Amino acid sequence: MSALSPTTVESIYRARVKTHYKIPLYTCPVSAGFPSPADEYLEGKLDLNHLLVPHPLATFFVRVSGDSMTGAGIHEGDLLIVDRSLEPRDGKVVIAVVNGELLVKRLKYHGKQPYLVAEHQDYPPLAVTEAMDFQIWGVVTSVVHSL
Amino acid sequence: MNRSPLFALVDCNNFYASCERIFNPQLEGKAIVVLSNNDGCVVARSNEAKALNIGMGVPAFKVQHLFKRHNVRVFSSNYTLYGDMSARVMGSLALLVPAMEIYSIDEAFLDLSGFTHTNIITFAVEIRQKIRQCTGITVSIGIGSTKTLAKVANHLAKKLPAGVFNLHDHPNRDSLLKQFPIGKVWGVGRALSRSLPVQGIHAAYDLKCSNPEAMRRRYGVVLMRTVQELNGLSCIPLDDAPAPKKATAVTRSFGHAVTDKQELIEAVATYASRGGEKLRQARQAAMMMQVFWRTGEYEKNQPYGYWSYVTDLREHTNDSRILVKAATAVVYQHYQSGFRLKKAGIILMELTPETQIQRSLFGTQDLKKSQALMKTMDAINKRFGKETIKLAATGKKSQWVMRSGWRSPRYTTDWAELPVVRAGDSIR
Repeated sequence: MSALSPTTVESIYRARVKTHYKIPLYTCPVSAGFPSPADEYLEGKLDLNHLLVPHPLATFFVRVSGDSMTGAGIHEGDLLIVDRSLEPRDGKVVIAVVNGELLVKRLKYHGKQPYLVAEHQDYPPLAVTEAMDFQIWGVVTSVVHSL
Repeated sequence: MNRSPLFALVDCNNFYASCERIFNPQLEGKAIVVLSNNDGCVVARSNEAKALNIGMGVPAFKVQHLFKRHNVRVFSSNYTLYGDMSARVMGSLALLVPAMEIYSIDEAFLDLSGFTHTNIITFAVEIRQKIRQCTGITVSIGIGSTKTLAKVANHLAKKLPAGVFNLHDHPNRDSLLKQFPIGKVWGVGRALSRSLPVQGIHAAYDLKCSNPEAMRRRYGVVLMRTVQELNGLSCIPLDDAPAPKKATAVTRSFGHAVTDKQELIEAVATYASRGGEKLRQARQAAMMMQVFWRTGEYEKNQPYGYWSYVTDLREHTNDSRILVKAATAVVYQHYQSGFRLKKAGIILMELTPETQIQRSLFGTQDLKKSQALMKTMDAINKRFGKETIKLAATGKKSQWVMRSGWRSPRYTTDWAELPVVRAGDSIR
């Protein structure tokens, strides 16, 4: 569920995210006379931005340092796509600010008590307390891992 | 449906400092200052820095001792970051209201006319919460029946924890205006804020009660409009299609004194090339170009010099090669040695839209070819980074590039400068 629902926009001054949605007019060179039977089924080219960045204004990219989330498929050096417009829910991987630091953990609730849980056996869960300077920075939606 | 005008002024609290804090949360609660290009003057302060009496616009060297004594975090301006964050805030606002006017990098007027049947405060609180969640930026929102009153309301909103204030139909509006200092009213500049009190106008209320005609005769139509706006009569409409720029400038101060002609030529060539880029981005072309350079203003025992020349480009152009050639020709012709130069720039004037370029009878440009070349250059620079492809005149080593000693990473626009999050070891 997003905090921003699309409405008709009258004016935007700078489109920082320019997605290229190339739509070919014809899938094959048009030779004189005979259009291709496939022309009826033309669709656009696939654009990763549409798949991975539905809310560009609220989306940020971050790098990962450390290995406590390898169980979630998140490794040192990976790129994370973070969407701030999403609600942080139980079970989501989030970026959290804890005592001034940006951490990546999974958010789990036991009843009303939130925990920041690692995905690695060597790392214990962290209970979020009042004393802690805690804030959710954003929800991680995808990880980009170069092979 | 009631469509009487209703405006909101949304502005970001301590914008530059806030941008730095989002990606470096350790800075919360700390005194932060941001310095202008070339690390010259203070252009932004966090509330904690304001409390240390570090004034706006003061030269950095004058308050260096305060920085050290109070462990103030000092940053060089990171306009790439601030510009991107501004675009996110403005873009988010555009999704929430039908019409808006971007007023500055961190302020916008919203058109809320027609919202009178909704709870306007609830809506404003929602806007504030959404912007904060999606971008990390905290805004204050002031609402009024005119832009000027919305600005007053915004000042008042800043003092409230809720960050939102509605002056429209407020029962104590006049008493609030009586406590609002005249110097803070939108449209009252420094000179007026000194001369109006002499006429007995000390607060916004006094100006509201003044005779608009008399104000117009004495101070001009702009102040008259302010008087009318303070009275709830909207006469400054939302400007959602600002007129295209009449001039484009590229000017920079040098990181160190330039005493060599070749260095100045390289600098000016780079500015002219950048000017061409800006024109092409705006789909405009220029007919005149001013080139200037000067020594520093505060250097003891050094001769002061200022050189400025306007050159006619003969026909409208945004071809960087032509601009660079014309700019460097000016330097070749007029450079005088023996001076320590601190600033230079070019200003492109007489702009017209690309589509309206009239070829002069003596036009020598091969327009299509030059446009194709410029387009390719721009595309390459866009993909691989600024100045990947440069004109040779702009030089290889840029020693005169401005100082940005303490610029934070470009967290949102550079793959190599992304924020790092820790999936780390035990949390202490």
